[in-house]
Amino acid sequence: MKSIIRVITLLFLLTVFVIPTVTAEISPLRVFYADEGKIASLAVVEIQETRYVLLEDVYRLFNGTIKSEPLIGRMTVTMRGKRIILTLSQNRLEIDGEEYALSKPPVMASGKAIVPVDFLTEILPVIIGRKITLDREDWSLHISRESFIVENGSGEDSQTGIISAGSGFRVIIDPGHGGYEVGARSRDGLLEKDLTLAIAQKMKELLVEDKGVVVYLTRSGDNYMAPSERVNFANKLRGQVYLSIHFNSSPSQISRGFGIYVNSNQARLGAPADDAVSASSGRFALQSQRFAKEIAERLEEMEFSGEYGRGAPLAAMNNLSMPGVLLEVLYLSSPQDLIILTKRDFIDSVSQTLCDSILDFRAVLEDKSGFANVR
Amino acid sequence: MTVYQKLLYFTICILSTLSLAGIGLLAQTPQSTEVYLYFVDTDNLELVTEKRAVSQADNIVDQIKLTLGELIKGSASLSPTIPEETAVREVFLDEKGCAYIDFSRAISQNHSGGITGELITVASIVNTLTLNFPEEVRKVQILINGKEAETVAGHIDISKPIFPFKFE
Repeated sequence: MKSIIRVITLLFLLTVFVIPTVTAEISPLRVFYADEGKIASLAVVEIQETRYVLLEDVYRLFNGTIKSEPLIGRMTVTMRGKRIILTLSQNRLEIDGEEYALSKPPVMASGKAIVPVDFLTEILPVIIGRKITLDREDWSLHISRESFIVENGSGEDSQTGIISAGSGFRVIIDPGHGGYEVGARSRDGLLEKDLTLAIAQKMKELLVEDKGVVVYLTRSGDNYMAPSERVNFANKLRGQVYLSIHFNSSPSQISRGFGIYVNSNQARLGAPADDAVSASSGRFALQSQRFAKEIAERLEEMEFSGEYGRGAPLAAMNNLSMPGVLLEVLYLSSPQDLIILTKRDFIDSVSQTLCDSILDFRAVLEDKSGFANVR
Repeated sequence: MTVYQKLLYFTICILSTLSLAGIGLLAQTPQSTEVYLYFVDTDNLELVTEKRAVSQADNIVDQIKLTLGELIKGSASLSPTIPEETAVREVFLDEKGCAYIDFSRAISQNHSGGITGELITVASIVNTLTLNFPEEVRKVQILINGKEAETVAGHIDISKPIFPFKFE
């Protein structure tokens, strides 16, 4: 009986969500440049729910040129004095040697290279140095006069003045919740906000032993802090990695184990981890995925099980200008997880594991050639 | 009794029968309609729909309020997605297909927390509305106590309108 209901539900969802998008006709994307009015219309195609534009339409808009190497599927675009290297079927691209990610790789359609629409909002601002917004309602792209500044996480020329002795690897640890926002709670009254702070403080204690690391906590007491304030704090301090620590809760008893989330505009439920990888895009997407993997591997060594790399629109990571993940250590709603997290050395051992994973990640960043082999 | 009198009585009988039938019809007027509500199947941790009859409202905003009222009430066989003390304070619809749903503070204060629980809450609200009102609602912005909020329970960004979640 139950399986019949599920099949019916699935068919229903397919009808509602999938069929209309497959048959949808896409009108051209209108491009507006500041106050000068419409400057162009870009042809748009939709393949498996992702919208693409022609790569040649994009670089021609800015008088750019292209050099194609069809044998290896590589395209080198030169525009606005920058060199952009794209490879067919790879969602990684390079702008003047810096790595960026696309939600979906460039592909060929009718003999022409096409790139997903997020190329215009995530990559183009870096190339032309202007803020760009996509109005999905109106189906128009707006190139603003405002400049788009690429935050350089490794920059030594801090204008904030906060980092005076900032010669180390800057780690931002964000203990979730705080103050009146207690977060999840266990049946016996364990509060998420207390556990996250205990781990963050222990991690800071452990990490300062390493002279090459500088640690900042978004909160060090039991106070409320809005997600946007946490991001501003981290950006101002020019962190090089951001770890937001949380504990999970679910109405279902089958939920247990860790979960490591990366920021993504696309809201999905029940996405398998592999698929979530391609759902995120932007400057730090690949590095964040790699950081998630480093943490997962260390937690698995502790014989924790869980999943990593799932995307969600995370408020505590909106506009974050460094690689970062949100870690849900365990479920406070799970009886099995509670056995683990009420063990005496739980806070110490988890903190040590997370510190190790941060140092692993630093090593990956320092070894550029190593990072090039990710995925 | 003259023929005219007979005719008069006959006419009166017919008219009164008709009017009684009319009153009967009027008494039935609160007609009902069917909606599909997203609740949690805790055996598999997935959102599934439940069909429910709700009364037919005069306008779309009231129909949305009735639907959300049923969603908050919960289900007999599935787990709830919204804290039961939550109230819908107001509903606004704009011409771009965005429904602004203003919930009372209980949605946040009484939430059991966790990103999993929070995703369930947000997805059940957004997908229930876009499923039942496909013409009028294409995205949903959740407000709390009359104001824009960053999150319901500390994780998921609700500062902007949210499009329906995709299920894998």
